[in-house]
Amino acid sequence: MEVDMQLLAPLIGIQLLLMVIALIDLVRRDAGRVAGGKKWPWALGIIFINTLGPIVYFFVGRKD
Amino acid sequence: MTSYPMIRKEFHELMKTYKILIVPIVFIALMITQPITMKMLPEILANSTGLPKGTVINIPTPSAPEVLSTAISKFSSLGTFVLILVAMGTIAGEKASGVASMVFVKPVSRAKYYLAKAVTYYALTIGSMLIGIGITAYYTQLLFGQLDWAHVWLGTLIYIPNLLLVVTTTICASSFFNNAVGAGGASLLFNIVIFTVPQFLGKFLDMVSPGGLTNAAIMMIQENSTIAEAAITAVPGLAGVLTLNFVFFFMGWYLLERSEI
Amino acid sequence: MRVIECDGLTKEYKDHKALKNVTFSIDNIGCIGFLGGNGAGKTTTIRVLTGLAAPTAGKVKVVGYDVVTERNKVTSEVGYCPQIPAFYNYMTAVEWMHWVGKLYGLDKHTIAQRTDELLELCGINEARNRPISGYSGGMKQRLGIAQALIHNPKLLVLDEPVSALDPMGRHDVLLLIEKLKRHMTVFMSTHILDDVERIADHIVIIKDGTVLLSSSLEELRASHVEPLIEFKLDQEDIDLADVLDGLAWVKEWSQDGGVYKVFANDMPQAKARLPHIVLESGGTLAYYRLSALTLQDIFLKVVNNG
Repeated sequence: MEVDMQLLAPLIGIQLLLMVIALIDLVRRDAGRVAGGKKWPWALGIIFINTLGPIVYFFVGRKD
Repeated sequence: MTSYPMIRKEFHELMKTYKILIVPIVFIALMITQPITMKMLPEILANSTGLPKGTVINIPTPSAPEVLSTAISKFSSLGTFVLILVAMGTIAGEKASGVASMVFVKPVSRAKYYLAKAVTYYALTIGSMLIGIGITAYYTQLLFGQLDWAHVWLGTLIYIPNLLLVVTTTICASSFFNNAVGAGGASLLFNIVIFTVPQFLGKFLDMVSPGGLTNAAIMMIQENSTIAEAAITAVPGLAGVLTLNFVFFFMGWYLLERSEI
Repeated sequence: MRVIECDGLTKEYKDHKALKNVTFSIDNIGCIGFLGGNGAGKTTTIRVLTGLAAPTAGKVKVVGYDVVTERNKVTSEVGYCPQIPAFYNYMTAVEWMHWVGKLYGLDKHTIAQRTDELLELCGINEARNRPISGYSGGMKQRLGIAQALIHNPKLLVLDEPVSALDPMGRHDVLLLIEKLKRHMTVFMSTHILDDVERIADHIVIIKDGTVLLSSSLEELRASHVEPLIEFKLDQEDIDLADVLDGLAWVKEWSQDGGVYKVFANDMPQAKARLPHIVLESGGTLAYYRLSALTLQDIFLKVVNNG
């Protein structure tokens, strides 16, 4: 399994990066400018849904 | 004089909306999955149940160029989708929110506004693709062995006009529609048609279509032919796709000039 | 030079004519109230004046330049704030002002100076470094006006600048316009008569895409306002009809529910005599006042006759 972890490292890195950027954006944003008006569902989605969570947040979750 | 602040504003916006990070990251994610799953495939199959004990699976290990070319061909549809999502609101969204009318009462020609948008998204697309392919190729090389980088970069350059076509048609639709979703929908529909239909319309149309260009790019990356051979194969595709880019670029511009903000 | 010259402006869309032969001209500094109901063609006219929409027919000159052929000259002399101003919400007020200044080709120093002046003047200096996304409607309106002034325009066009604001915000913005109109022409569309009465010097009334009236407020008052005396008696059974009919200085009178309205040929005479006449008839006054047609009356008169 050790080999597998090394193999997957870049993917995990990308996922973490996306998650962190999404979370930073979410924290700095007023609740009023988030789709649905509440922040916590997005926080859960970004943290627990790999890759897709942050991407959906970036494209649909933010209202400007 | 006023085109500089327009372009600067567009790049500022890319940063403020994190598009400048998201697009390259998503491009990397979409492409790098390919070498990883290819590498893990034998193990996944071995671990899966339902096979009688002692079955020996012999999958020939693919070569590095093969893996990379599959990565690009798999990337096409999702990459297109991401680009449409990123660019669809760039003009339509500003018309819908009313910012466009704030901008167009100032001494900014619509041509400069349009050009600034196009240049910015072209740069984003090209940069993201180069980063994405660079990292994916490097990783593929680590897992599957040596690649010829001249083939990799040339193949990527051949492929890029296809992505630019996605951006051009999306911005064109964005000029026409007054809301981002409409623009995105129209662009998606158009791109599905232009990327899939020509192959059924005869050899010539296939060659000059985006699909033909993708095939030429893959041929270059697969390293089965010399650079010169692959480059010649790409000529009709390049001519066709660049023409399409040209046509839709000017069509979008014309639509914006004509539209009432 | 005329600030606005609209000659036979017509604007047609596929299904309807938004403007039909709109003709008026403005040649003075001050505030122009552009009055009309919803759908009368106010916003369409403004879109043509600012170069956002092209006229189907007619000639429109703003600050001396044709809005179609000399659009760039028009835009550099005109400031515009739409009914609901929109911005790039991630920018701060200062960033927006600087960006707009650069679009007008101003140098950095001028931009910084004008930004300070205008944000102060419009009362958003405290919020200058906050993202616009957090602004209230009133703050956005005031920023909208501030950014329309950065290049010191000769004409400021405001589309319904106060109709979306609360009473406090309305008051502030009207005060601001009052200050501005001393230095430039402010062309302001509105459907609120009170605002016009308060700050406009000239009014243009539009209905169904046609200009019904264009006149200075003074002239309008002079031509429409007839002095009248309004009074009511405590006693409803006393009839003054015979008395009023017999008076030479009464031009016209009416009575409705005990309230008398007397239009006079000779106002000083009427003011001196009328109370006595009432008392002589044996009645007492419930109220008595000098009155005039309000702008509301005039507006309704003009709109209904047109």
